[in-house]
Amino acid sequence: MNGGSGAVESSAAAVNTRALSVEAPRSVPTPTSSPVKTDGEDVADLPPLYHFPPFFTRQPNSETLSGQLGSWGSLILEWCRRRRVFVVSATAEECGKVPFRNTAIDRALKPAFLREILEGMCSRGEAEWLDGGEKKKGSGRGAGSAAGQDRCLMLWRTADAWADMLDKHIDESGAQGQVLTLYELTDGSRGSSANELKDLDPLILRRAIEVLAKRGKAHLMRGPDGEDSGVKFY
Amino acid sequence: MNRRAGLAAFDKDISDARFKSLGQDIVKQQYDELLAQFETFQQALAAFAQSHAEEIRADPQFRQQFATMCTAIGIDPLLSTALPPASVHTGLTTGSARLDKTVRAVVKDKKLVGGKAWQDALGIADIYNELAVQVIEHCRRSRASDGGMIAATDLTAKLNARRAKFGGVAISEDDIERAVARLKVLESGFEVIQVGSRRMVRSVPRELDGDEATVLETCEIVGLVSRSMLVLNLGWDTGRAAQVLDDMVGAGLLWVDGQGREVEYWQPPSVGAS
Repeated sequence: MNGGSGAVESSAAAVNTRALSVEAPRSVPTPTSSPVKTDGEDVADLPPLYHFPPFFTRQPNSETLSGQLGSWGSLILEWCRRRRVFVVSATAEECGKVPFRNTAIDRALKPAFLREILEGMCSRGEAEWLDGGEKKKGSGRGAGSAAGQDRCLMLWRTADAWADMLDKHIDESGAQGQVLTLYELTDGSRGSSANELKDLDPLILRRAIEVLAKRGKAHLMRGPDGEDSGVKFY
Repeated sequence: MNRRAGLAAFDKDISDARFKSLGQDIVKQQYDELLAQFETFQQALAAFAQSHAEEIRADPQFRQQFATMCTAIGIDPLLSTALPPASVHTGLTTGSARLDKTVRAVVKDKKLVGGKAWQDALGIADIYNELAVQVIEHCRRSRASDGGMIAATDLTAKLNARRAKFGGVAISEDDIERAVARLKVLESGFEVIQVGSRRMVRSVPRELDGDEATVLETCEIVGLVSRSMLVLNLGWDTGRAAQVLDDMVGAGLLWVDGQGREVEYWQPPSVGAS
């Protein structure tokens, strides 16, 4: 068993304790005690699955896979909601960042798998491809794409909810009757009640305005070349 | 009584009939005595159950001891009817085989601990029925990620967390085992099995073969399994190791980690709604 025990030990040592301390199988303990900061981000609010190494590997069992895709979708959506992230890209660069990578256990999503996860989110209405990103499916594993082909808009709040926020902000800032540019709405210059709208993705802002327009509370104005030039609120 | 003289006095049939009826009288007497004792005991047990009903409901350990006692005298605490004679605990042996048989007959016959009143006083049948449903629901939800095998301790913890949130008294691993035992009649695979040192609740009809059980035991000890681990430590040939691991992944019993130095296999994480 001499050669064998060596293999077991080195294999076990490669498994990080932090990964196993939260609802994951036991392992030979390795000395790690301080809370882990990955890439300067606090990962404390991520679910225990995040610390489970196989979670970053696309599971071959189809039932297991479908649960895994759902778990990743929830994780990503919640991450984006907490940190006000609006766009996720299915690229190698993105996969080098938290939460698609866990440096503590040295695991990361592959771009193709992230793409598959995002596809699932889109089919559940949790996200939406920008610039027709889904057309890349099957055309190669996410490599060498044109800019914008891999970007996915995160819909962690519905357009209706955004519209409500916009409405509330307009009321609070007394902007009825004014014409505002889209830029003004999101640049944070309009005081604290606009905080929720700061850096809001333009596409989402537009949708919120369209919802308000349907409610008769806003009117999106266009300039001579068809570009959005401003919004009037009622 | 017909008196006959001579050889006729030893007519076997008549004597047999007389001795038989005498024997029956004796047996009946024993039966009646036992019955009286059982009924006394039944009343005492019912009184005990009623005065301790709260404790039985609320304290898993007390409940377990009470349930063990009930089982020992041939009463199913959950059904409050008699257990099938075969399952009456040998703690009831009187030293006489025929008397034991009589005891079991009494227990079976008389439906000791009268039904509804007992159930209402205790309410523990409710606990187990509700628990059984929760076990089914939880296992159904987690099956996709754990292949229908979950450690009894994990299941207990998960359900207790859920019960703490949504209402329900605390339950113990023993309660889970009893609830799962009741589910066996569904014949859908619910069973508690021993894998290594752990009690696992299985919720699918698929049996674990020896190799698979070994793999799960290795997972329990080391935390994960790899093909080389099986080959080097257990002396399996590569084909056998590969086959077992693939089969288990196919059955949803293992997750794959492809980013280690070699492919590693893990038991499913404890997932499932809480």
